[in-house]
Amino acid sequence: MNIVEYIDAYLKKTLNEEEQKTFERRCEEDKAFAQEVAFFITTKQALQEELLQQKRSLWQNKNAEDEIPILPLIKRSFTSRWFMYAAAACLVLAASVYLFEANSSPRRLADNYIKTNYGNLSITMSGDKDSITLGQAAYNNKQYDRALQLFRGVERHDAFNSDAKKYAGLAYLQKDEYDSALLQFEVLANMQHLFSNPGDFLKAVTLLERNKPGDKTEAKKLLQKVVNEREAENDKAAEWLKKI
Amino acid sequence: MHSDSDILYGLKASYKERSCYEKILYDQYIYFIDEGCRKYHLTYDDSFSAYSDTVFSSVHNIVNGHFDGRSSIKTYLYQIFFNKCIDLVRKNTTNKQQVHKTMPVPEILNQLPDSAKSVIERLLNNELKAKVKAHLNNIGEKCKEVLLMYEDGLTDKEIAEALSYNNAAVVKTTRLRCIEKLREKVMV
Repeated sequence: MNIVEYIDAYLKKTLNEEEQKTFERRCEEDKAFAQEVAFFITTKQALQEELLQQKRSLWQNKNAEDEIPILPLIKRSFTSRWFMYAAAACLVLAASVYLFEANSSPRRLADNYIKTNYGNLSITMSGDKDSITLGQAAYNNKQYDRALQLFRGVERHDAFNSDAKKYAGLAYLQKDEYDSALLQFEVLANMQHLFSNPGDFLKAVTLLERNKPGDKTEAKKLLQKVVNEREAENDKAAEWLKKI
Repeated sequence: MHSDSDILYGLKASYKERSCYEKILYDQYIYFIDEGCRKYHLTYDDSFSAYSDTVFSSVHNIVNGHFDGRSSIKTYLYQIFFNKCIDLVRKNTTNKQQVHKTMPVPEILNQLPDSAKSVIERLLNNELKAKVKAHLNNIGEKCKEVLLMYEDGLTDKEIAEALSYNNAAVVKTTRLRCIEKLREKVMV
């Protein structure tokens, strides 16, 4: 057994009792041996640190697997090129028809509204890191589960926190969990004494996104209520009522 | 959300699968970092460092069979994270930062009896560590990879499978030669 194996065996506790005692005695009496042990322990420590560093960057790297590989260009024949042009033209035509239909659909209206207004939540610049701010940051990073944990945490301590309700509903909406989102917005809509309450409007948005039978009718009723009672986003509601 | 049994199974599977499950475990409880900031008033960097250390040592304990499963992984992880946060809070608040700038005593040293431990402890220093770290990059990528995998808890047999060596004996010889190579560079 060479010296490295010997030290490794001791640290792994695979030596017998007698060998262990000899090892420990040598550490005290043989300076050169003690230096070898110190080198071995330092090496293990350095490797551990290096390993931890590697894992940290691996764990933090979210998009490594999503990176698009660069593929070499392939030369194509003249006929296949014309075939591709024709296929591309058909594709563009089909996409235009689809987009024309989709843009005017109620679901697309709701989708565009969420993307434009709540794709990112504005965070106050005070520098305080409360749960709402941390949740907003997680939401903006598209970590909706984490954002929900933070918003729901706030709700547990303060059931009347309208921001937590609204943001939790939006996070559910981003996750396409429409029933949970509706529940949050329902509670929000019933909160009294708010200066501006978007609960009903967001409920209508969620219904339009869910797009189940009867959802559109229900959404229309809500939008009409928003207009009649001059609730938050009543201008937008009036505009949508004309379109859907 | 992955169940504890899924994670335990994944961490004890092949090296490739284990790496995936390490990431899953890391992501699953990443909100601990925010708790570290909120509850213990740590900076984000400190809290992140405590959390990644926690995941790192927990994975090693699980892989080496030191996790007995009496608590959930979350509780186990949180206990380790809590201790690390408290250590950082103490370090930051007791005005003993200078003390902490000295070389921390490696845990592995505690295996030695006190008399032998103090002899070795005197020989450990930051200069030696810096030298080792610098020369780790001079022993070749393959050597470094084998040493890191062994340090990550893999057996020679598992390394042989992962890196397509003929057998465990070849890995063992390679590994010992790599340490010898490093020793020659550091101890001159």
